Amino acid sequence: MKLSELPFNTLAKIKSIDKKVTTRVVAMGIVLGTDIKVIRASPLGDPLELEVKNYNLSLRKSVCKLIEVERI
Amino acid sequence: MSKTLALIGNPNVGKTVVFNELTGEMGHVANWPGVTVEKKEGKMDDINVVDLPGVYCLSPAAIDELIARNFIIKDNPNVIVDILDATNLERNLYLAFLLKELEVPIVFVLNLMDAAKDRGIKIDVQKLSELINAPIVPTAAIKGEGIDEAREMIKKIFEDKKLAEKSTRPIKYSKELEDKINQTMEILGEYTPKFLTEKRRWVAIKLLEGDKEVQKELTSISNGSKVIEEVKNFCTGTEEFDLAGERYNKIGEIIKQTYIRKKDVVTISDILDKVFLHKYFGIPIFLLIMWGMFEFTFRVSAPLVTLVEYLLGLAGQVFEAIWPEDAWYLSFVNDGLIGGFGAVLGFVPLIFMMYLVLSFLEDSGYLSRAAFNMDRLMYKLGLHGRSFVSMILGFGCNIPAVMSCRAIESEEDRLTTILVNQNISCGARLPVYILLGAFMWPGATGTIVFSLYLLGIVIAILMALFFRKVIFKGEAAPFMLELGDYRMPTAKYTGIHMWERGREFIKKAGLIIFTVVVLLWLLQNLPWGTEPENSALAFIGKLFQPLFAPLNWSWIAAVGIIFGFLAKEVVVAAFGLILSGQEDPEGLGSLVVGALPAVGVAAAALPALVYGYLVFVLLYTPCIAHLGAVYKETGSKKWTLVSATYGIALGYILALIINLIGGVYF
Ligand SMILES: Nc1nc2c(ncn2[C@@H]2O[C@H](COP(=O)(O)OP(=O)(O)OP(=O)(O)O)[C@@H](O)[C@H]2O)c(=O)[nH]1
Repeated sequence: MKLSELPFNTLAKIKSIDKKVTTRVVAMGIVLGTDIKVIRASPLGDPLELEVKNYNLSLRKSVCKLIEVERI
Repeated sequence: MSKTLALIGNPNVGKTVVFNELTGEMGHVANWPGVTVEKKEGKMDDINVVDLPGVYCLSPAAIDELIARNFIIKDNPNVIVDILDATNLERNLYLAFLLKELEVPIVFVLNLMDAAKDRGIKIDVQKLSELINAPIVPTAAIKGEGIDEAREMIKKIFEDKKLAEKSTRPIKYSKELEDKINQTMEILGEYTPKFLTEKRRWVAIKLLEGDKEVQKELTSISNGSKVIEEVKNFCTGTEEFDLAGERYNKIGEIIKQTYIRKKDVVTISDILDKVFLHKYFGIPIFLLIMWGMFEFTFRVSAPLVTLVEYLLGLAGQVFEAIWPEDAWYLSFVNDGLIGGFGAVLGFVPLIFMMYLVLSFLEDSGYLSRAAFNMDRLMYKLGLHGRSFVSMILGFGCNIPAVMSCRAIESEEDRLTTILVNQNISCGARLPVYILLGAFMWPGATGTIVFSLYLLGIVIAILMALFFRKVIFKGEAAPFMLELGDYRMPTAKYTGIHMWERGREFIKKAGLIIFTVVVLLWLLQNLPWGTEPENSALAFIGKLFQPLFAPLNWSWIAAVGIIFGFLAKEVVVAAFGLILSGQEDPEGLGSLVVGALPAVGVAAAALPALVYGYLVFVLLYTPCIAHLGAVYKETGSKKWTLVSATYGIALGYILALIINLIGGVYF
């Protein structure tokens, strides 16, 4: 499923990343096989707060749609 | 030979603190050649320390990353010091790996060890150092811990060739990737023996990643395009992600061997985020904090402003006592310098208090939460969460606000954010609102001032929509924001950050405002000994007054506007000077309000006229230095002109409308 659809506080693994995701986002730890969790959405619904590589990162849903994950 | 050391690290790892502790100074600030990103330099004994921008990676897409990277490749610092955040080692090691690829002597400073300890994190520093082939010094810079050791290690690496050489050894990646890197290096060697010979491995990696900047440089030398072609031939196109994945793989292995973190400790940050990012309370709390920021600014600065004014008044009395009453220099010092420049100095506390709160919010980690809360809104306007921070800065001064936009990656977002910022009412405009508002609407000054701020925000939003939907129709840039741990800001560094920001204002106050005030005094007194109504200043005011005749403004109003174009800080001073014949600082508001309307304007139309005047002050160019900043940041005369004209036009039209409505209504 897409990262943007992952329920909150559910652990998942990154399965594939669309080419459109930029190097700078990848450098933040968005790489294949990484464990990832969605912690919450912003009060206005977007962006999302993620937990990845033991820290908290915020990305917009539009980018999260480009990331495929699998629940573990 | 001079020794150079480059300081680098992720944002918010305590780089400023380490810089200060190492060099024992705040550093001298200049700009990087050609761009307005600040370059800070200092000295550690005979070593020149250059502070590079805080970055997460070294892609060519963002200006600050490119600056950092070009400095390392082109200026060849002898040693790099990379500061790592011990509480967030995994992500921080990514930049460390990128730096290792550059094969430059490197020392790692593992900062925030105290915070890591509090969170139950244990790090095997010895082992970590072995695994990444470079010296590592643990520090808690804010407490001064480990700084001596860091200084020693840095000196050692400058002297010990073997240690330096060892730290340049690359970290090997998977066989598959190493094969590709080697193959690329061979091709590079074959065609272009001289291209960045020392950093061939790095160039090879960048080519595999399809790095635009390296490709561009390569095509400028003979056979360069052939190299790019050949490399492309054996690439699958996934190398960029493969390399990133491999770096994180290796980092993961290292972390497993060296890093122990207590599972699932609920940190204070987690608890605070439950409140500050709460679905329903997050935004009200944000608004409350912004309101608190202004309350604090005004309340705390009020007595300081009074104090400054009192001291200046005292100085004026001293000069009056010691100098002959009709000496021109007494008039120059008391009316020109103290009356004018002094009026300006009175606002310094206000600006600094605002920056104090901003620095506190930023250092504590709240400002990134604010961006998280507000991003959706900004995004709807076609802007970026970062634009929001720039807007907030605008409430202090539009110049640093415009400069802060360079952190925004996409050109469209950046231009829009720069161009709308002028509508955010800066601290320098406030004294004008207060001067006129307090007299005109004594019971409702706060409401009037608030309405002006609000109007500025509304216009900024509308203009953002206009620019983004009509002129710059591009895709929005990807948004990424680290929500790091909250930290208790220390007085010292909050003070330093306040000063670093406030300095911008002081520079402006010192140079432009001072010049303008002196000019003002001259114009007001020439020809020498004349009455204010016949001075050169009045002449200029009367010259421009017809332009403002449809708004029913007097020539004094015109003078205020003209000098406000140079710097808003001098508007009050200009009024003070023209009207200072009736020396009565307390009643300046009443004098000015009385002097604003052209002859024959009905008293009933006065509120609308004054409010229209304030709206004009809000909307036209904040000051000439702002235009300078816009020109520097956009690099375009066209956009600078757009910035100036749309502001003036909007201000004029709105003031006219308000006048018309006011005229009919009352
Ligand atoms: N607990 C702790 N806090 C620290 C330490 N070093 C820095 N800090 C705090 O971390 C925050 C950020 O420090 P800065 O020095 O401003 O960080 P920076 O890397 O210069 O940040 P940018 O200017 O965003 O690049 C401040 O609130 C510091 O007080 C440390 O060793 N321990």
